[in-house]
Amino acid sequence: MIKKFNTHRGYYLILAGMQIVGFVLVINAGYDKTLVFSYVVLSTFFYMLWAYVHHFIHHDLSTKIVLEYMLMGVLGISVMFFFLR
Amino acid sequence: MHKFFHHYLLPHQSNNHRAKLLHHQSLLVVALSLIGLSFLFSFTVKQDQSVLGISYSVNPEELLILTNQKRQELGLAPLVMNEQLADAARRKASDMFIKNYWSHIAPDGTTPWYFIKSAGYEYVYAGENLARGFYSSPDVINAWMASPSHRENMLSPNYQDIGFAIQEGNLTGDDTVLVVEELGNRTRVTTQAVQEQVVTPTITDIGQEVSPTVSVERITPTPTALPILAVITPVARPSISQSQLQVAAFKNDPLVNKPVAQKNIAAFVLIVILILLIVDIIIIRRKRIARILSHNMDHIIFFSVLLLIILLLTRGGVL
Repeated sequence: MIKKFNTHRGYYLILAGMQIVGFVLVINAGYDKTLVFSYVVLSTFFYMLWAYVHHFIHHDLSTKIVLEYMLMGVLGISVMFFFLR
Repeated sequence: MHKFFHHYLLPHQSNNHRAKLLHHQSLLVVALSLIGLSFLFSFTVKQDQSVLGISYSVNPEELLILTNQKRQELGLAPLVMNEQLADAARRKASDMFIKNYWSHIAPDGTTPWYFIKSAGYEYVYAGENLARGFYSSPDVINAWMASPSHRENMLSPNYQDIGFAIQEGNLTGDDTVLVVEELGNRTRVTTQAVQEQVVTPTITDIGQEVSPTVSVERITPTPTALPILAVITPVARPSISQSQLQVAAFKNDPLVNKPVAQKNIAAFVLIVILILLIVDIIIIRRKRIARILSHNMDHIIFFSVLLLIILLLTRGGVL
């Protein structure tokens, strides 16, 4: 696990950075739920995009992986949709 | 039961070494269920608020008692409930819901002082504290006390009167409970010599400081142009009837508190998914099972941030 983490350290750091930016934007949006949801969708989009780019670079991008990130993204958006509605 | 547990929650031969709840179909079912549940919540709220709504126990009497406790601890005079300030607070709360803003100053530039004056309260000093998303009086007071600027307002010796409004509604897309606190002090100058020169304070003819965060208005009479004010008599404050207080202390107790239910369900789903992903990493690592899958760590980072957002956004706010 640690070995794998070290191999993909740059990737994880960029992903964490993007998520932190999304988090800061959401917190700054405060109580504007439409804006909060927009930032969550944007953040999810970049999470999926970066994952696809990463797997493409490492030559292991498959339909199954594409679908899995998509479903994880949909689940995240659904949770936030339920929470914010 | 044991098999069920293994199949749905742990990587196992029966589920192709991936907890069934993390399979594509399960993720889709959970996502669609949440969307369906959110529409069911909206429908239920519209149909019957006694089943699903906002439950809170904030009332002006308790807020006043708690505020005066804090003041008396510091040797300050207790504040007196004033119906005109309570009316101003209600007007302000209604204005915030109608114009959909969360600020001391309305988008059209209307200041808190407008509501106070409209309610017939002629002040020398006035201030305003706002809170939203708190469901009990002590929570509101503690949040104000934790903020230096709001604390300063509550514990200012410049105020004698206080008025509260507690209103429930949808503010900036959020079903919430809004608490408006208006503070004031009015002293009428009775010196005959200056009576004609003393006009209703306005922004142009008096010194006014409006802090963007606390919105405290401090008005001082223009120093040299007028004679020294010799006699200051406090104006009698109208008493508030019990029925008026009861109206302001409107309390709603639905079967299910919607904001709390939404937070708990959303957080529960995220925590379960996070636990499954972490357990998946540990077991697959121990058993050295090779799989062609996405990185669990990606999902853990993603869902952890969402969980943090939910926990932070459910905290009440003050302004």
